Amino acid sequence: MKASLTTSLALHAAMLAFGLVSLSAPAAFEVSEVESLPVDIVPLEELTQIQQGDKKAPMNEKPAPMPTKRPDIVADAREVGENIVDTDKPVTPDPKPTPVDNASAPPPAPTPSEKPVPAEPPKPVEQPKPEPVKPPEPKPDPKPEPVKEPEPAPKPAEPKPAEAKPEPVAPDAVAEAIAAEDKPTEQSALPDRAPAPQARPKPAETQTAKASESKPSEKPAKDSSAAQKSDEKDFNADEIAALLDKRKPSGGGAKRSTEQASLGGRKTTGGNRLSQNEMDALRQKLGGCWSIPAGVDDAGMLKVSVRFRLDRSGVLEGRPEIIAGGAASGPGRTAAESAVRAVQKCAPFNLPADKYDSWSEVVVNFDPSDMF
Amino acid sequence: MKTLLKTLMMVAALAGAATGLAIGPASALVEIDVNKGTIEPLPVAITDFAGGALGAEISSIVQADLKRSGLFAPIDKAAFIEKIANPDQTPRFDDWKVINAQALVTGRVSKEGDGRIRAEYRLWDTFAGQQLSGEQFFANGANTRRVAHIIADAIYERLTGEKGYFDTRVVFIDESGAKNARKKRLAIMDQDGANARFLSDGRSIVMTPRFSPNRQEITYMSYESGQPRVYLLQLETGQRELVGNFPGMTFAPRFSPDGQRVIMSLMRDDGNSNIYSMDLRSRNTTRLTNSNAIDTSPSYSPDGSKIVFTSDRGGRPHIYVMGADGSGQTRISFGEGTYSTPVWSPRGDLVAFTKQSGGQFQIGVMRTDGSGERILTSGFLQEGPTWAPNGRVIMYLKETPGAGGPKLYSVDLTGRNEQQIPTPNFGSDPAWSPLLD
Repeated sequence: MKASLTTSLALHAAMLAFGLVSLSAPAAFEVSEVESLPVDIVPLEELTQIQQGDKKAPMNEKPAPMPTKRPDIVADAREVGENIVDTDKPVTPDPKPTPVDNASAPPPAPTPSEKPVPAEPPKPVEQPKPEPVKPPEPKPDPKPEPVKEPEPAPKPAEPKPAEAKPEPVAPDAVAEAIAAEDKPTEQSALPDRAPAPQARPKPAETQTAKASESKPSEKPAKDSSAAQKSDEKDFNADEIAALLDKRKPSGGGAKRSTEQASLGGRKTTGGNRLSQNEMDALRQKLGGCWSIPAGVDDAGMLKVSVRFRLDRSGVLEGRPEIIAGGAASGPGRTAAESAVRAVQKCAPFNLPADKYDSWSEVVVNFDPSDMF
Repeated sequence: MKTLLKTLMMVAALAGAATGLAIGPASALVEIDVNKGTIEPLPVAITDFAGGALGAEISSIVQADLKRSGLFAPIDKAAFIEKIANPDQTPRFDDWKVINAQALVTGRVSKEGDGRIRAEYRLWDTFAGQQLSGEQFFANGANTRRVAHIIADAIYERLTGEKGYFDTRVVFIDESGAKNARKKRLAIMDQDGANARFLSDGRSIVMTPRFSPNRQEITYMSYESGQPRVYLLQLETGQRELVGNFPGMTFAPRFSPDGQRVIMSLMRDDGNSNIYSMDLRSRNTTRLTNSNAIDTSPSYSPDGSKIVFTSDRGGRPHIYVMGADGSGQTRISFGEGTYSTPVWSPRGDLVAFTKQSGGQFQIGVMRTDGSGERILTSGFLQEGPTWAPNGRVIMYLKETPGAGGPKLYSVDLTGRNEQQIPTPNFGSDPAWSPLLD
């Protein structure tokens, strides 16, 4: 028993040992070496769109157009309205030189003084003119009032400059709280004000009215409560928004950026080439216009390629040209004519204008073989 | 020296590259493949021809011809914006484009001094804004319909690139009377059903009339002598002639493409029929098949080198092709059901046949090697196809249940345009003439 067990164990052990040594694992299948390919998943937009930027700039993480050169911030507008009138700079320099000239040339000085006189009075005269025009509603009231008393008022206005020379203080006080440093300049400042209304007689009539009225109104304001009325009248509901809006006026124009420009095209486009959708739409449209020459023998074999040019509005330029297929007579000619007719019937084409460069010329291959 | 050579080569390479660059990038271009179109009849505007009632009649015949072909959709005259007063003036194409007329037909008819009429037409491509064709024809006053058909053929050919078939005639069997005492007369008419007249008096049964390719003769089978026999009839003189004198019945005759021979079936007393051809000049007959089966309905290919026929040697009637001398007989139809009355297309590319399958009769076409079988129409009873000379249209008899008799119909190769041909009574066994000339 023991011997047999031992023999059995010994034999099994021997067999296992033999198997371990001699029965090796089967040879692995040979796997040919495959070269791995790097695959990028790229959204279609990257291929079809061009961002605005600088053609020579390096590629940037963040797309940025060229920095703009226009000033971002514009000084506060003193008068709401035209930009030219807004800033005081252009206004002040003009008058200043004139007084200087006057000073330099004393003999002509009287003439300038006279000149301003007539120059000013016409302005007030003009002012009343605009007043009647706009005031269909409230202004008639203030006017007659000022007109009656004011007859003096305009006269005072004329004398103002005249008086201004002897009594500059009074006009200063009368005038708005503008710095009373240079009386002559103030005198000139009066005309300054005048030009402002000049510049905008049409758009900002109400404001000119304020300006013009403010002078006479202050005088009569003391006299009567009519002035208050006129002040109330000055309040224009249409301007509430403008009055409330404390934002700094912007320069307008395109969006601006102070970032470094990145690589890009002259302008942002949806891509240089027509997208698949646009191509499909075009294909669909042409298919709808194309009457297949069904009455022709072997109509399925009659492939025709047509080339045509379009202008920017998608209108056909000239006659479509057969560049492949077709024939001078028989079924070939019929096929060619049906292709040309399809294009002519379909025109004009509605294609994205910003991609005009890509579709200025179109080649269409008409192939009816799938239809038969 | 070596460096010089090198420089030269480099210059050459650069020049090559430069030209390559110049040619290489094609200018901005979109290329599109259009594989789907519309298979719709071409909208055509056919104006009344100048020349009063005659002009209106001719233009209406032209319009009817083009419409019946199924390839054209004449536009209702009420939609016309421009009234053509002078057909010699260029029409205002914009007015025609608006109503989507892709082609425009104008014309004039006038009477000549010698009693003839002069008809002229102009065909315009409205989108291209140019004249496609313009012709004039003279005909004697009685032939206004023919002139109109010729004009329709010219327009059809110019617009489709295929020969027209409007100026053709059809022989057929006119059937009248009660069903059990049907009177069958040989008759002929224009392909549109007009001008029908009878060629036989109806005292004996006539069948299977066929046009000769030279169109002066018709061959047909008649029971006139008690036995079915094949006859020849001169259309212009009315002269009749028995073809051959065989000890048995002959039937299913057909001309060879050159008009010199007639091919037909001859049935002996044992019930077997075989195909024979006979030379019309020498009257020599040649036996082409020799089988124990029924071989019949032979039809020549247009070049005369082959014959298609029906045989039931395989158990059921099927279509076979052999050489004109009877050699190389091979079966070409393998579908379900039975096939009969094969006819080789005048164009040579197709064989039209009658097929019985699933309790239905069908008219179909297949290529001459048996491939590409297409059923054009199917119904209760329809058989006996015959080809229009341009190989685009097939005419056949069709009987609808309860109609009491068969009528003639035509269908084009697309199978989309089936039309009934007006006949005086019932009609059967149509055979289309070649183009008249």
